Amino acid sequence: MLESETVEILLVEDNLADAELAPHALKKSKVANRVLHVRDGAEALDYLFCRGEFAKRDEGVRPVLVLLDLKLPKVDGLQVLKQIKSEPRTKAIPVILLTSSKEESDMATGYQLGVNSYIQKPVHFGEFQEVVRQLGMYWLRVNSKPPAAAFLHV
Amino acid sequence: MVTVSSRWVLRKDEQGNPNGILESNRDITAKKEAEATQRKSEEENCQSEIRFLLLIDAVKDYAIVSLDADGLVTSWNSGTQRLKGHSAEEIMGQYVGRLYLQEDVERGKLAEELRRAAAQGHMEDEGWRVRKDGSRFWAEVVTTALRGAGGELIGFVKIDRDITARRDSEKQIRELNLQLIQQLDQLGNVNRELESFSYSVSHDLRAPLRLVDGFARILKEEHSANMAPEAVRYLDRILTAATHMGQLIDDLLNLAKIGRLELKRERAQITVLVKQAIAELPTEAQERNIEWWVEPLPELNCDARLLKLIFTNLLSNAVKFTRKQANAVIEVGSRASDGQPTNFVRDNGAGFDMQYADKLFGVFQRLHRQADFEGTGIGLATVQRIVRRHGGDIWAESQLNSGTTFFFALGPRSETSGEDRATEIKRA
Repeated sequence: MLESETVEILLVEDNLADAELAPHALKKSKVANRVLHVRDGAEALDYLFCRGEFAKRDEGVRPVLVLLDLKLPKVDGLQVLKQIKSEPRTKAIPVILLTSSKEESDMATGYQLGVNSYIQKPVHFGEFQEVVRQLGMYWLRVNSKPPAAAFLHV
Repeated sequence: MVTVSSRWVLRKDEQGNPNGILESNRDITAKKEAEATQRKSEEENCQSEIRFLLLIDAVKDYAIVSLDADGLVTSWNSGTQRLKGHSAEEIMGQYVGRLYLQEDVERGKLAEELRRAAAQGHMEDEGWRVRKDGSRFWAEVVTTALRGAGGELIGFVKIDRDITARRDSEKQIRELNLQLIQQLDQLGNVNRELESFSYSVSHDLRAPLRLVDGFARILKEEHSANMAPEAVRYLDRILTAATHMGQLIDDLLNLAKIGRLELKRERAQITVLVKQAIAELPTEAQERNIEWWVEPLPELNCDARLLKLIFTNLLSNAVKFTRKQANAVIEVGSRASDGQPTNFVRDNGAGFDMQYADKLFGVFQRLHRQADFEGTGIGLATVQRIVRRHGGDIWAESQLNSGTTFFFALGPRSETSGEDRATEIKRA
């Protein structure tokens, strides 16, 4: 496991093989090297809110980006999104839904809950690689990260 | 003309010699007519009474029974005999309760019926009645009270009709309707299940496919240097198969989506749609030397997005199957057949054997080898589904090695009004 201080991207994905492809693409295009993979929604929330096995981690250090799958065991992607976006401590973290579903209702709910981007995973690895490279480039390089003040309790 | 009675009087002069005749006439037309009318009406009364009795007796489907004030039978038509089985001799003077269910008589139902008829003058009812042989029939009954000149009750007339068959068939119709509603309901459920099934299958099939494609590609791109050439060739096979399966899933997803979509009919410029569809065809269509003939097509009241999808499918088929043709010609046009515009897409490509025409529109059905012409076998199924959802029909005519023509008509609701068609023809 990576030291939480160095995490750039929190990847929430229950399929191990899928979880290998995205970091591979990110590393290959040299956009991000530090990806933390958690395997369900509960683990993701534990990490973000410093609970359970992540109780001792520094709360002031946050991932730059959360890549979230929709269909997750225990707590599903939309629930995770809802909790992130309704907590002042995490609200400003950019969250991207990266999913196989193009179901309109999933997209609508995602955007209503405040997702920053909704991306359907392309079937072809070439296209998938390109999409992951672009989103890594944008959110890690082009975009200005939210400042610490964005996470203050109101 | 008048009828008169005449009197003649001989007139005499003073000497007693006749000198004239005095005639006095009296018009008796009215009197004569009144006498005739009375005779006629007496005859008619007599005749109509006979006719009435004959009529009542001739009524076969209604039992007409008259009762006295105590409910004893005083007359009985042949319809009654037919309906109930008793002859007039058997039933005359008997209490009418013999025609009712024992329990109805005991519970006072019959007495209540007569009481209400007497009170209201008239009473209608439905219920079980009994025949002589004890069998039952469901009767529709009208009971009318008869009163004398002084208003005193003299009896009743009961008219019964056996409506058992009608009651049974009504019951049957109700049951059939109920069954039909249940079956429709089930069908709707099955349909919804099927649609959501195919939709989620399409989605859930994507995920493992992405992994197959992804890891095979990583293997090829990053590790092929260390692999035997045969192993690399096998990897290519895996990648081609993954691509094909990806296409199958996308096409299936589309097909399922079209089943779920709500049709949004609007007046659509078909000629414009066809030109857009041609412009958006894969690059093969632009790069090859294809001769395009597109006639002006009539406007249609249809879902424009779906209509465009029809043309996209039919035109890319035409492009694909003319690939081995040196001078490819693809033609789009319209003919009126039975007053309905029938559009067609014609090519001079590979064609197919008409004996397999019934397989043309089936899902996954293909009439050519994958090696000759690639495809998923879902395109034409999609086209047919769109046409059918518009209430129309699609068919094809083809000859091996000389080309295929697809015809489709969208059905009566898809026509724009006659006036618009007229202006369109002028424009064309």
